[in-house]
Amino acid sequence: MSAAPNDTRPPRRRFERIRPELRTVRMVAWRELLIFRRNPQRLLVTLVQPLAFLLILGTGLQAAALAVGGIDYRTYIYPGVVGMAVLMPAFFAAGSVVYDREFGFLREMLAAPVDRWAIVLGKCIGGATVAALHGAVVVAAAGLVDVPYTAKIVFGLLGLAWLLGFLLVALGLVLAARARQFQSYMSLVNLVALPMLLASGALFPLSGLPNWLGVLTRLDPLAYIVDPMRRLVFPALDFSEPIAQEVWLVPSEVRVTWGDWIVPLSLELGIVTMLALAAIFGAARRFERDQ
Amino acid sequence: MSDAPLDIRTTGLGKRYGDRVAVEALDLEVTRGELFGLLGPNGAGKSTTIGMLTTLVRPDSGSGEVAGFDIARSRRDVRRRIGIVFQDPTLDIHLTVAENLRFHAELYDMPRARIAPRIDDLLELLEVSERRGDLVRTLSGGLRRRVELARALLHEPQVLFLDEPTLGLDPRARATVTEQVTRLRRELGTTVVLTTHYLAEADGCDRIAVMDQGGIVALDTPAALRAAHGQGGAPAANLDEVFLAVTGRDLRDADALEPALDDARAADRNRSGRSG
Repeated sequence: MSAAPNDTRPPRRRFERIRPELRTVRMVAWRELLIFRRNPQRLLVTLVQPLAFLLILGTGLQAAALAVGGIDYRTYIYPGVVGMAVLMPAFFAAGSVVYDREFGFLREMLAAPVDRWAIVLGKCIGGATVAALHGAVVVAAAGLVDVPYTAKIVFGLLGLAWLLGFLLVALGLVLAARARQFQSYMSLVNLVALPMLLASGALFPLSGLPNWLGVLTRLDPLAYIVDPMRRLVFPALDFSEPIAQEVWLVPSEVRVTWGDWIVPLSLELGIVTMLALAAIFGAARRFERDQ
Repeated sequence: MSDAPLDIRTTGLGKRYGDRVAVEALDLEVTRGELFGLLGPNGAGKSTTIGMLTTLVRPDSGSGEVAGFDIARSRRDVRRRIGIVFQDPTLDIHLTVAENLRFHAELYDMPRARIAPRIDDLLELLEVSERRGDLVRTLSGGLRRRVELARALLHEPQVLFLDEPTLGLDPRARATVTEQVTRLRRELGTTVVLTTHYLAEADGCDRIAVMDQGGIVALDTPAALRAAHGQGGAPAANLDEVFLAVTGRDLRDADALEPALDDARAADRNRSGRSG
């Protein structure tokens, strides 16, 4: 293949070597978005569950919480519901690779002269973007539960939703890499998704838990992304009533802690990122062995 | 032909799956520009051979070079220089024809300025230009095959591999694809290796390797094979008779006799059924 004359390529060697991979990442991600754009109704279907949590369960428990006095429970679970909106679309995005296998397109990708990680990373970026768009609908609904539309909250939540999607697509791909049927993949996902969501503490405070649940929560990667979301949203909550502080604990104490140590934001984001990269590496290896 | 460079050379190439030998000690030479056929029943080792030559299956023994690069040590170099049409469909049916080709062009790192004109040329060549904006889902099986051919040729491969390119097509679509392979090869001068168990396809090849039970049992031009393996001094009427003569079995019955590995693998890949 000869290069066309107007193909001006930067002379940097390192970049040159992985240029096919970078183009692959972009193309695989682009394909995810393209397919999503052709089926936007998926957005509605997958949003029913989180919105039901927020508006039905939230309102129902709100009525109960009022009895003990305190805060708006819907606002309290709102960060978790943003995460919930990202959860299933992210796992679905990872699961699309099972369909790619069934319908043969995976072979086209795996036969190309590029490293597997590029295909996996592209799926993660594309899938995370689609998942974050689901999260964006919940972010847009912030006003319903009295969360103000400040730039910090809106963009912060969107960014965290994307990062959560990125992690979940990567984890999903580890499961999907060897699955031969979408159903078997989805049964694995159903096995982990709900416990992961509940254990993240999206619906309850993290301190004062029984030991076993406290440990489980801190092992749940979702906890480290739900927590930063709370840091953004909770200043909007009114904890002024003493009874609220007793029941729900004040915002400063709703942090993820290891022992007495409050895990800082940078470490939380670092944990999530490193885990996602490890999952990408693992998934790429599983695809590699496939051929 | 003898001084033309070799595009494929294998020495003692072998692959086994567990106890089952899929391909054994394969020695093969294919010259640049040749249209080379691998003929044999399912399970003869054709797909495994193609798999190894395209670097998708790792050989257990022997070595091979394709387009000047070692198939085990320089997989990426080999991959850049080959085009593949798989036995089963591998298009994304949710993308349009043009999008499928665009995707391929990017993964094969084609110079950006060449992508659009090259896609135009190949769609033109394979007579699918008017469907370029249509979702692949809406295309017939025969048209999909032609799009796959266009895609396999997009990055100007030195060697084109076609694994049962007409499998699952109706006779008319089959004839069209066969005709197009012959024409492409004439116009582009690409080396073509195809597997088939359709005799008409094999007859159009420059040379044929007849495969059975993981090895080559006869290798020559179709005419020479017929001449050598006729009955009672007369040349064989067709390649079916050649196969019968060299293996003692009928080509079409052989499928049923061999509980084929290719079949098992195809079934696995194909669980949801061929679409189109």
